[in-house]
Amino acid sequence: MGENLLELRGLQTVFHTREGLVRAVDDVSLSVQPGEIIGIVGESGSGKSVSMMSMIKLISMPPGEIVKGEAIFEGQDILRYEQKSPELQRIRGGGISMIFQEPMTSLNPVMTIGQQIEESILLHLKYTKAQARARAIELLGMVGIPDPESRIDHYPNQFSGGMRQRVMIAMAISCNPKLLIADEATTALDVTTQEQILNLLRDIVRQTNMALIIITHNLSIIARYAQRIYVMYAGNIAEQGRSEELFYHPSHPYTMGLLRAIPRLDSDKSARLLSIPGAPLNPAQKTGCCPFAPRCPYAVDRCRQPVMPTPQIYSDTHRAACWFRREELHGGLALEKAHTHPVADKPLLEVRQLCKYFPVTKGITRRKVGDVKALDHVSFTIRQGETFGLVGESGCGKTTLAKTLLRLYDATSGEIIFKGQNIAPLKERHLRELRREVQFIFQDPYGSLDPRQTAGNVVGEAVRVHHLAKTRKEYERRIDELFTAVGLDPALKNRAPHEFSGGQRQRLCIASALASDPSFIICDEPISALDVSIQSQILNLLIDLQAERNLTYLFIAHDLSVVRHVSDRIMVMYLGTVMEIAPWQDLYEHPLHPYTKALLSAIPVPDPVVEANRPSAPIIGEVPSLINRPSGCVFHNRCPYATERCKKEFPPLQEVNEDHIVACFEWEKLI
Amino acid sequence: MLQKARKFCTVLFSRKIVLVSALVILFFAICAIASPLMAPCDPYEQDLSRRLEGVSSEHWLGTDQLGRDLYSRIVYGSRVAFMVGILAVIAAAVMGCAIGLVSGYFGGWVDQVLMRLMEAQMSIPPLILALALVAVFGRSIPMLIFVLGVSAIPNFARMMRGQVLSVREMDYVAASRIRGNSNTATMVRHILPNCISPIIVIMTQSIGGSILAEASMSFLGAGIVPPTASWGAMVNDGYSYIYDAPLFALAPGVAIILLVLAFNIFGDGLRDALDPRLRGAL
Repeated sequence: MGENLLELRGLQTVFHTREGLVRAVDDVSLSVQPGEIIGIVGESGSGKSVSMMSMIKLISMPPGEIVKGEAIFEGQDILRYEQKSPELQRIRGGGISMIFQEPMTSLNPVMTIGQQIEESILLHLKYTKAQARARAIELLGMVGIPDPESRIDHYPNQFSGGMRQRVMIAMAISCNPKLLIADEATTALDVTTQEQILNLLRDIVRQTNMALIIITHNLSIIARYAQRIYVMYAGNIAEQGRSEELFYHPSHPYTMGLLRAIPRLDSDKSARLLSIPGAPLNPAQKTGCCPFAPRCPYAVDRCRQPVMPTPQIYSDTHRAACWFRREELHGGLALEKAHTHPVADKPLLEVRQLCKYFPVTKGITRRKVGDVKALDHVSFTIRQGETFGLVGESGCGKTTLAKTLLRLYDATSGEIIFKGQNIAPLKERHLRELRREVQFIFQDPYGSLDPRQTAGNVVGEAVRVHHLAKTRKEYERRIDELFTAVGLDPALKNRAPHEFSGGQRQRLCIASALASDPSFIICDEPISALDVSIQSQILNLLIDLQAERNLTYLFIAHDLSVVRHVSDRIMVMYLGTVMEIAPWQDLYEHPLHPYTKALLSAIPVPDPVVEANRPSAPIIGEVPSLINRPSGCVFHNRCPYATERCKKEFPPLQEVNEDHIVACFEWEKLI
Repeated sequence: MLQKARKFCTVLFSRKIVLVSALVILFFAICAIASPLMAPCDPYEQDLSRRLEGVSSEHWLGTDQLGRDLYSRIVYGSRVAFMVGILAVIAAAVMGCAIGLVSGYFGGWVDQVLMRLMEAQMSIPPLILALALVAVFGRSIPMLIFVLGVSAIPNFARMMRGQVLSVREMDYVAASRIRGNSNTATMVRHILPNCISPIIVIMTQSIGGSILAEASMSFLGAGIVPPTASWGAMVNDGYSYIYDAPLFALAPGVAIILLVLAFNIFGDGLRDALDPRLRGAL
């Protein structure tokens, strides 16, 4: 092992809040060598960002306070420096640089990107204006921005999300930092863009021998990139190790749980996901014992004593903060068969040539100048009892489709045939039956519950609206049943939604969707706003409820591995059009559309060896905006198989195999 | 719930000036509710032999041009101030919120028509509008409340509309429609309660404005009918004697300033306490 570039020793950061002392970072030690990529994985509140932020004193103090610890960066303890000292300012940006999650808000909209990049160059390096500009152009070229000489004078709003993140990277590496911290840098991006950005970061590390710390909640994405990984839980490092060690021999029950809770592209679909019970520990409630003990299936009395476990050491690099060696941890978690659900041949919902255009208006007269085609001739059928998956990147029309099916939007044209009746032209007052039969689960459990209503009221509202309970007593009983069905304690029904955790809130949303006894539920990214260890709980719940209540799901997600786990058939959409519809096996094993193929190859698998051997063929470019939709096949400008015909004609949906529908002229090339 | 209220009060009164203004409001409120107990004399009893007297143990703030006890008249004047101030604001808030709610929720031509109407009303200076309405319908307390209420409607309508526009896009509003709630039920159950806190703030602040408007109207002789005690009318009576008996005009003037200022500061305090972004900082 060479000289460490950065070494944290026993870092402890606390926040003094009205609720008491929150130990956000508790005795964290880690090291980074030059040119190394390390990953810090953890759920929200695990202290992964705070530990990095407190290292360069970017937390607000007070309420924050760095109680103890050292951060040795290039031989000096940088925690000694005052928050606003010139030494620390030189290190921030000059020595250690950061990229944040939101590329949309971390650039100043009134300055050109050139000015913003030059600003930090001029601040840290002794360059003249002209040199700084030349450097900025060079950097923009390096991060893959085409035509940097002219793009440098553009404003942030003229760049797409992925391009902005590239600009952020250019800015972060402008002063040749020794260490770059990417804090959830790809979380807000589309899958295909995410892969491009991570590849770019890896290439930069290789070229410049800079060290990179990737902070993320997603174990899968770092399998391909990180050499060493730290897993954090409630402010402590639960496990650390080289990436192979961690993925093949997880030794902390939390890591084991996480790895088993993620649906993978290659996992066994018939088995139930193993989930970690409970919710992540709030660091305010730490008692000094192993923080994972309340959720750990192996916990014994010793784990609940207020002493932190001494780490088990498996190799120079691999250690886990657990009282037990991994050989001693067995039993407790057995694979269960997943519930199966019968699928009838009868269609429940048939969508024919559905279009939804939003008018684009201009000027004060609101003259219509064009259409945004959010849905363009979408057709598909959902059978009774099945789970129909819908995947696509941002702007593909997933949510517009859901809202049009629910008649929250009026369709521009086309038919929506639900149980034999075309509901597209119905007036609002004739939708009562539809409102009972079709329900919706939102992505964001924080925005979808009325903060002024109690949990019981939210859940019971549909019961009242549809007069499903005759007496007060029956109504109360029904609410209790619904709470129990989604795994919540009925005693909580008088609480306000903000008193529940994210996972519990999503359970409330599910309960309120079930309240009217619907037959069809549209789930719009129901787990993407939740912590990783909660996601599998909610997925399992949805699968169980489907079997118990004979539900049909339209399951919308951007994560193909999640969709694969729950769906019988899957539809892939891109820019408002259907690309491919196929049973899940066919879709994952023999994708017939170039876009599906590209999406599949962009999904990371939490397995370093599989990742290393997988042919990586990232697709070029980014999802275009709906306003400049390409002519002909909407995918032709990113498609490696595109021909002249694709630029002019729109390929119709054709059934090429039994149940396998694809919209591509060149599908035979993919067999 | 109790704990929450206590926490709210801690934040609200963490600034001393807010506490002081709350006490001022409380004092005048007690004056208004329990005027006979708070006033040492009958405010209508004239004694022409003791006109325009200065401060004495019998008349704490002296007497007016008809020999009536000034302090007692100020105490009784708070009744008018509170009644007109609060009722006018309530009337304005109810009508304004209804207009704003409908306008914001339905949008489209309904919104266009209602908002153009509000703008038309706003283009007329409120005092002139109120004077014109009084000239047509005559002077009385209910008339005054109605007139001042109407002139404050656009404030509430516009505020409410803005709130509704943002709340309308929340997922829980869509959720309410998906559950089968009618438009009315969605508006009343889910949108209104989530828009109400800024309305409460501007209500508090508007009470001050309303009291001031009532005083101005009475000062101009278009408000309260004498002999009912009204601060505005008292200032008007007093200002001709400003050199002989300065307290006669000044005392009711100070009462107006104190109460209006107190309502404005208390309103600001409420706004800060209800704003989640400021709550953490305090």
